[in-house]
Amino acid sequence: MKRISRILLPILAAIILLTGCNSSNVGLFFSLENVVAIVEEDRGLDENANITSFAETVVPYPYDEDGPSEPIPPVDEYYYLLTTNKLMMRIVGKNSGGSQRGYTWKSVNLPSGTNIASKVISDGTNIILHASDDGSGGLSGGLYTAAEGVLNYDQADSVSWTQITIPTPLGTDERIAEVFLVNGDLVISVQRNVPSAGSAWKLYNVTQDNDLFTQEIGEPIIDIVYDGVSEYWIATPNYLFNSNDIAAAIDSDLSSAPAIPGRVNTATTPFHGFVDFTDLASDGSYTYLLSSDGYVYYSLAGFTSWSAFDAEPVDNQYQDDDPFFTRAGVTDFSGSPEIYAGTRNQGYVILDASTTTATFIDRRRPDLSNVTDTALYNSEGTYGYVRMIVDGQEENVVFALTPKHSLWRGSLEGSYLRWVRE
Amino acid sequence: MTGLVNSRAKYIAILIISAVIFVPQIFSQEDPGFDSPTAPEINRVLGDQYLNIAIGMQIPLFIHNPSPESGEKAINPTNLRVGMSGTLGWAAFLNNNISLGLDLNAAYSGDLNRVGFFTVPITVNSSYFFRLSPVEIPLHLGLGMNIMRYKDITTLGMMVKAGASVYWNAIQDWSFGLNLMYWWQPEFYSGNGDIPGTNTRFGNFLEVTLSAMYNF
Repeated sequence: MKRISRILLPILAAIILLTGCNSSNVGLFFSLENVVAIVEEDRGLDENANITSFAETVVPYPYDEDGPSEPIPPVDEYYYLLTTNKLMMRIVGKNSGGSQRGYTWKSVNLPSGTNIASKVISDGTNIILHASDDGSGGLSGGLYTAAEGVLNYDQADSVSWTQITIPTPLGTDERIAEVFLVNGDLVISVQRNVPSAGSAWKLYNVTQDNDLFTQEIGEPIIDIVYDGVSEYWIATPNYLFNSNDIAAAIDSDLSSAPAIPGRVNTATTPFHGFVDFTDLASDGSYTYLLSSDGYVYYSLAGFTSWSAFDAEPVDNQYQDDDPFFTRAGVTDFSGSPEIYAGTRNQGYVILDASTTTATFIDRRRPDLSNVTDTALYNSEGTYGYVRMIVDGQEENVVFALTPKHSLWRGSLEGSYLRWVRE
Repeated sequence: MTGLVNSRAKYIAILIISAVIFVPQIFSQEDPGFDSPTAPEINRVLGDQYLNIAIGMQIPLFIHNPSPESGEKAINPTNLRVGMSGTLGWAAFLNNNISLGLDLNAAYSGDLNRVGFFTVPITVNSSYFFRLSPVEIPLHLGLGMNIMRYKDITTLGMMVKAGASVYWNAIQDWSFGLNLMYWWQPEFYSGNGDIPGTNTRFGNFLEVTLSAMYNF
């Protein structure tokens, strides 16, 4: 009896002392209690797909079973395109209520000599594809376009691609890291391998055949916007700066890059840098910038100044070391501007953009949440780096791009969002 | 779905309770047509030990929110499906009726989207044995630690379990039986750390297993 007690009682004491640890910042049973069923649309995407980019382009001519026909204005149908290493597309009938035609995603053939689709962007009618050969580390391949009228849903496996000539060819140690459409120009971020020093990045305007800035910088370029007047604003993982800053002060390690003007709480809130712009997404006079320090910044037209949504709600868990804002979209679905912000590791959230206080909006339908919602909302971990994109054609629709759980489409139904996984 | 799980749980619970009540009576009835040998009386002494292996189901019951805020419910569905459970245990008798030992459990359930919920309780158990030879009916009480994992969340918490078993002493050293255990898995948060106190929840599960016990 005593011997058994001598063994078991210390174990019991240790158990009680050790209990009460959690690796996360949300309760496990709380998370379980709030999980909701995923509604699958079974459109043919792998449920674990990593959605790396998403674009839309209108179908230039009325579509029939034989392909494009009479050239009348594109009003009714358009394409969704996305990359998951592969390029996928489906056709959408804007006024057909989600017709069966084009219901499933189809794989699109890639340009000859490539087998990885990195990014697809669109200027509204034409699409631009960055594709490469996976054996080359991105050194082979390039930019390709499928012009207006070339895309055909029924012949998705035989798209004719035209390579975009880069006037000043890249060096043998350079690769395309990112592709942007800026102020109507095609701009690429070029990554150069620097022996024993990592990489350096620059921005090259393919359309104008010039470097936006003469200096290379020591961080990848996440996004770029033009202020509509004279300046470019550039986000890297740790800095936001404008073209004047670069021309005057930025050296290769960015050590002197300025912080964003108007940034608040610098003493108490760690600064993690900016992840994605909401590209000139504006509710009239404001442009928003979602940052990885968990703040939403806004600028008046012309980028004359930046400010942060100032009131910090008690439950703003995004001002933290881990979850931060990523790509967002601005909508006016509800008649008032709202920011749909993706996060890292906590799904998405909606912020009221009609004020400059960080007020969150919950569009989950409480009585039917198990049916109409998904674990996307404020979810822990599983969804990783969620990015939000607002549908440019169809009203009341947003998309959530996830790295491990495919593509989600959210539709506003009354005051609530209904999410389905494509 | 939750209603279905709860219905199943109730059905299984009724079966188990019926078994606990009636099985000893069945075994105690004598067959008038045969000379039934009298089952040897089971006696345990200090130092007798047994090993136990069990496998069966984990039935999620509900999640208890001890401090529901406005609009929240105190009792909420677990959003888990019926899962699997297994136990390895060792214990030693302190006298003829009371044993003390350790249990290592492992259980798995899938949520509504088939995302796995894993729990590994390690408990110190005490059992009190009632006997209707050749049947033993131990009542159990266990306290210990509980490692749980769901999605990217891993927790180390406390665990309390209580229940009863019915064992049939088949041969000299071996008994076979049915176990019914209630698991209470509290997850306390004070609000002083990263996790708000409003995340405090108590998980409630039912474990139903078949087991083999080796006495030595």
